[in-house]
Parts: sequence; structure tokens; C-alpha cells
Amino acid sequence: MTLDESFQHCAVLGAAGKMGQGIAALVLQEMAKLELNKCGRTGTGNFSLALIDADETGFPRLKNYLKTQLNKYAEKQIVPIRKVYSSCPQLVSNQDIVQAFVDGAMNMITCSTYLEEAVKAHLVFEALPESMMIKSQKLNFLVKNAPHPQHYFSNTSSIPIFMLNAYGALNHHITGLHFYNPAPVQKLIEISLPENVDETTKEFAIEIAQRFGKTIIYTKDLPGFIGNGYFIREVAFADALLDKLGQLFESSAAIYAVNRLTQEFLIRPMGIFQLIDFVGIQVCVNIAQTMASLLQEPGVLAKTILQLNEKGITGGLGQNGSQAPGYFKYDAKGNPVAVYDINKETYIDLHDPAISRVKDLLGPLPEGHVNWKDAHSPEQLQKYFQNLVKSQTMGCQIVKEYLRACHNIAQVLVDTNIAQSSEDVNTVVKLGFHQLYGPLDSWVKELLQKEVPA
Amino acid sequence: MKPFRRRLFALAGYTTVFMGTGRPEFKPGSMPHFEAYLQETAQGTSTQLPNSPGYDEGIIGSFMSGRFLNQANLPGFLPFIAPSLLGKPCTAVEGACGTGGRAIATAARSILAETSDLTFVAAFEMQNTMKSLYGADVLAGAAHYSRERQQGHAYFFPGLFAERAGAYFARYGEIKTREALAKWYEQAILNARHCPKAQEYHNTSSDLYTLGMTPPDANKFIPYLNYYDCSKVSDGAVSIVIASEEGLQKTGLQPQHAIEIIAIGEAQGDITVDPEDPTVLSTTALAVQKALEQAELTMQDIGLLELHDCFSISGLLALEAIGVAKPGQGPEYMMEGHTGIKGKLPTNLSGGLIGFGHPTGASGVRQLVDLLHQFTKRAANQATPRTPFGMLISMGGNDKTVTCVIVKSLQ
Repeated sequence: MTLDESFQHCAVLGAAGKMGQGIAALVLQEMAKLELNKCGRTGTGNFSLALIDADETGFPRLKNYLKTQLNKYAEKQIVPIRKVYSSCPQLVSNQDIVQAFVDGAMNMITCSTYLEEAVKAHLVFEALPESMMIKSQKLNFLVKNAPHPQHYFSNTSSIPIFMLNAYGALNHHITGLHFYNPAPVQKLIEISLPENVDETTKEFAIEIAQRFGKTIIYTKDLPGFIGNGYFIREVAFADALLDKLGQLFESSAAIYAVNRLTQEFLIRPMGIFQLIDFVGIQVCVNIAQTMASLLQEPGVLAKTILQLNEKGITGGLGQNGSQAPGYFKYDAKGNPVAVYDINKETYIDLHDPAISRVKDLLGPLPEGHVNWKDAHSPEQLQKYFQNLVKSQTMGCQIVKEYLRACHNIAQVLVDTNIAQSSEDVNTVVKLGFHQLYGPLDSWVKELLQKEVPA
Repeated sequence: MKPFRRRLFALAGYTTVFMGTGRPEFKPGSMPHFEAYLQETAQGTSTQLPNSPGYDEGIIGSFMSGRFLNQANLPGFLPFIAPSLLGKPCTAVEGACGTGGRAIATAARSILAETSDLTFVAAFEMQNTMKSLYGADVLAGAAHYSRERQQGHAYFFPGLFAERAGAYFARYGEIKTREALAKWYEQAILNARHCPKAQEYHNTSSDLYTLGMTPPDANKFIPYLNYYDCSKVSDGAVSIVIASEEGLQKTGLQPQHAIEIIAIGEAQGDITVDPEDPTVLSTTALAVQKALEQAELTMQDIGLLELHDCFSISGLLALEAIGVAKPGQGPEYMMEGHTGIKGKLPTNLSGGLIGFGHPTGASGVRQLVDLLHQFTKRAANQATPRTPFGMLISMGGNDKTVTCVIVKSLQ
């Protein structure tokens, strides 16, 4: 069976989650495109997409999201789509055509809490919670009940694929396709190919990533892969830094300080704690626990994410689709407005004088600073960071060490062959985390070599 | 056509910024409402009149405000922006992208009929209220929708003019034509850079000609033409006063601050019929011929030109339609620099529709305001016209509703 034929019946497990919905959007777009080209329209009933999730309350939001994504896709692809629909005389305007395309594509989907709905699928995209037990049990159910062999693509960001294969008894029909959030937008995909993977599954995985327009980075099939191998260790470093700063400031002020340093001083799209909130605290805990256990590396378990998780502070996607509170509380537009104080168990407004004091103590941003959105040239960044390492302010001193830590974390990934090259790590950091520079960029290395560690 | 029975003047022109992508202040979804544009332009016109004599009549032009804004009954907005029009005759005019030209002609007729001495003409369009692919559906109303839209291109009007470009390439050669179209784009932007209200005023691209040479991508847009060959989606408003000699005197404005309209050629094509020859703008040619005959002039006498370059190819075809270049020689005319500010026939000195912007219903009036500013030495990109005569061509649809206006300097 070809990939085109296999795409006629697909399933996404964990479809109502943050990653699941993005993956579902990509799969649905590809299916709609294939159906349109094959049948001259969408909604023929020849294609089916089972969207499975244990939480049925997420389905209305999921459908809205998919409809919005399909609309965007159809608007972007209006030229080829209109050509196909030119044989339908009742469809005249672009508006008519976009609507027909979207409505037809939406007819493909079935939302269900029952895994049985997925047995018909040939391609199964798994975006379940980051738990070996959950993932392997569900996949094992499918492998036992599907009337034909299925190909499984796991979005796990921490669990080795060979283990999912073994625990789920998947006959090597599984690869890792680790998307980044939001999946329809993010260009990066990490592919993890375990030993003895089925050749067709492997070929399909690579072609699917290409069809989705992703930049492929191959990672060794080890816990955390490249992305979380980097991110979770950076979180652990940031957490340790919180401990140190906690001796000087209130915990809310310390969180604010580290977040500011990692966003503004490092010229990143968001600070490290905001990023954790965005990913979801529980997701981070699951990943960190998997890595800690499988790698026997307890150091990756950041204390504060465990604390927040225990308190039921989740981050991630809220019920209404907005950013849920985590280290920070957010307004409707997703901007942080208050920061959590772990000791006081309450959120402190960002306008609080204690927060302003911390800002002053860290010192001003070094000369040449530009906002992340406005920084375009490597020369601009290099000049800024040269000023940063020369600066003696408290903020710059901390950031220097932070930069060094990130560099060292990335280097270990290369030294242990998890990443095939420094460039691969840089690509993951730039595309996956939208950072403007990689921790192993040559100028970063040079900058750090000149600096004696504090 | 005989000369006009009364003298006709155009004065007190005002153009708002033509807004859309490329303007730094453009924020889709949070822009001023159309009433604000209309108020600005009416105010801009009335403050130029030393006396406040009050208008006798109002004309308002807009192409598709019913679709873009869900707003019809536009004459009702004239007393709102020009209070002296309360209780006076007010009329809305529509002729697709040629609306502006027809608004001028309608105002002129009323002066000539001696039912008005001072007619206020406003024209506007707000097109950024919807995404361009849906705007394309709306603008397709400028063609024969029931016959042409279904099989038409996603980007309908660019698609129609791409067909003209393809036919022209096939008959006269693609390379020289493509180079001329790129040159057209370059000149449009260079002119617009002198005009703070132009949509492309802030365009800082360093190699415009190379951009103009971008190969068309039929899979993403249209064949034969690229994005740079097309005018953008724009919002904007413009106004002017059309007056008799008595009307001009009433305003208190010195005649040298006005221009005289000496001829208007109007021609109508049949919207239900495809162009006989896609390489020819036959209705444009007819309108220009009528205007020249009425003015008893030839193209040699025209010192400034404002033509309707909704697409670079329509600019090139217009040069041939008005007779300054022979069929197939438009590219050479363009490449030889005759349309430049120091050329034989300085053309579209504020950037034209590609450079200044193209709020569809407003462009014709904007062209007249530009001629007024040029001949009263108030233009942002001031030329020294070779003759006292200027011409504008306002074209609606696929060369269907065309108005040609010839003006004379009073300085």
C-alpha cells in the first residue's frame, strides 16, 4: 500500500491535546489535499480520520481549531484548489470554494473517546500523555485489534521508540515523529528511527515529514532526544539558579528575575519559565521523570516544576484554549501579568514594587540590546553579546554563566551522539525554540572561550 | 464633439493617504472607519476655498462599498461631510475602477446643464475590510460576474489582465515586454517615494527593477504577471470641486490655483462581451479619441498624463491605445524613458495606481487632483510640463467604462 492509499484512513490519539490538535490539523490538511486531487472534491466519504481523546469536553474546541486551520490552508492554497473545483458549476466565488473544501474535509473526522474507532486507520499518529504505560497500552490495543497492519508515529518527546515498540509489541511498525508546538506552524520535526524499524514505516515517516513541509533532524533513539535533552537540562539549570537567587529574593522575584534574564538578556522569544508554562508543567514533569528514570540522571528533575505540579498548577492549554496559569498568570492575549510565589502560594502582580526592585538589581540591558522580534543579523547579536560579557552588572554576570551552561548541555548531546552534529543541535534550538542563535554557534563558542568562568 | 458651452474648472483637490500594506501605520482590523476618510478629504477641500459659498450639488463615487462596508445610499454621506449639501441634489456614481472618471463627468454635465455652479465630488473605497482572496470575489463584479467568475482565476482581475499579458507576450515578444513591465514598476515606486501620501512612499527596496523581473508563479498567483505588476489593495478617499466660471469666482480662489477641464471623452464597452483583441484597449482608445477631438488637440499637445495602471500591462497597453506608441511598441516607448518626469510625456508622477495605491472607486478623482497639483505647482513630485495640457484616463473593468479628461493649465 502506498502512502497516498494509507492516508485514506488515519487516526490521531490524544487529538484534543495541544500537540494532538496540531498534528490532527496537519494530517487532515494532507488528507483533504489528497481527496481533492483524487476525487475532485472533499467530503466524498472515501477518507476517514478518527480523532481519539479520553476527554470528550475538548472535542468542540478541537473541531473549531481544525476548521480554522483548514480555512487558513484553503485560503493559502486557493489557486490550486480553485482549479480543481472549476468543474463544479455551483461553486463560483473563492468564498464558496473555501467553504466547500473546509466543510467536505470536516466530514472526514470522527471524534471519539473509544479507541476502537482507530482500528480502521492505516496511519496512526500518537500524541498521548507522556507516559510509557498509557502509550504502549493504547498502541498495543490497536495492534491487537486492527484488521490490517498499521504504521505508528509517536510524538513522544522523551520515551525511546524502541521501548514503546517492545512494551506495545508493535512489530517494529513505529517511529518517532516529534513535532514542535504549534505543529502546523513549527518547521522542525525530530525523527527517531529505532533499530530494526520496519522499512515501510521508516519511509512513510520521512515522507510524511517532508509532505508536512518540515525540516527533519534525526536523533538517536535515547530518552529526551535532542529537543528535550537540551530543554529539560536547561530547565534544571534554571531551577538551580532559582535556588541561588531565592537566597536573595522572594521566590516570585527570583522566578521573575530568571525569566527576565533568559528572555530579555538572552534575546529569546520568551523566558524559560514562560516557556515551561507554554509547554505545560505536567508535560515537563512527565518528560523529566522519564529522562531521570531511564537515564538514571536525577539531576534533570527540577524542584519547582515538581512543586507546582503537586499544587495542581498546570500551565499549558486552559479549558478555553488560552494559556493556563503556571509560573506566571496571563492575560487574554497571553502576556504575563503576575508571577507565582511558591512560599506564599499566590500570584504577585508584576507591577509590585518587589518585582521592580529586582529589575533594578539585575541592572540595565547591555548596550546594543534589541528585542527578539527586531534582531535580524548575526553581527547585531554578536556585538550585543560582546558587550554583555564585558558588563559587570549582576544580570550580565548571571547570564554569562547561563549561556555557558546551555553551551555545555548542547555539547554533551553531540559528544554522546544523540545529535549527529553541532549544527543539528543549533537547528533544533533555532527552529524548535525560535532562538536566534544556537548554543553551539561558532561565535558563541569563541565568546565563551575568551571568558574565564566565574 | 463640440467644445463645452461653459467653461469648467477643477479646484481645491485633496487626497488622503492611500492606506494598505507597505504603509507603516497600516494595521489591518484597527484602521479608521470610512467616514473618517471622507471627513478628512471634505475638510481638506473646503479649507482651500477662501469663501465658503456652499456647494450646489454633490457627487460621490465608490465602486463596492455595499460589499466591502455593507453601506449603500452613499449620497446621504455628502451632507455629513459637506453640510452645505443638506437639502441639495446628491448622487452616487459607480463604474467599477472607472468610477472616479464618471464622477467627474457627471459633475461636469450638471455644470454644463447650468443646474449647478459648484459641484463637490468625493470618491473613496475601503478594500482592506476583507482578505484579498475574498476581495477578489467582490472586485470580480467589475466584470460580467455570472459569465466570467466561475471559470475565472482565484485572483480574478489579475487573472484577466494576465490573459492580456500572455497574448501580448505571444504576439510581440515576452522578453522586451517583461523588461518594460519591470521598468514600469520601478518608475511607479520611484515616483511614489516623492509623495508622502502614497501607499509605496516608504518602499525602500534597493533593486526595484530586479523585483519587477521576478518570474511569475502560476501555481501560487497568476501566469505571466508577478505581484509587482499589480496595484495593491488600498483604502483612501479624495475630493475636488468642479465649478463654472461663476462658481470659481464665488469661491474666491484665484484662477491660477485651478485648472480648466476642456474635454471629456466617455466610452462604454459591452461588459457581456470579451475583448475582441486582448492586446488592445479599444474602449480606452475611443474615449481618448473623443476627448482629443473635442479639445482639438493631438497627443503631441499633451504635456502630462495620468493613466490607469491597475496592472503594469494595462499601463503599457494604454500607451498604445492613446497612440503615443504603435501596437507592439509600448515596451520600447517605456524603455526609452518617455514616461519619466523629464521625458516627452511625464506619466503617473505620484506613482500611479501601482505606486500611489488604488482604492478602486477613488482613483479617477485622485488622477484629476494630481493634474491640478502639477499644473498649479503644488505637486510632491513636481514636473515642468512641456505643454499646458494634461490628460487622465480612468478605466473601469476590463476596458469597459472609460473616461478621458483633458485639462488646461491656467498659469
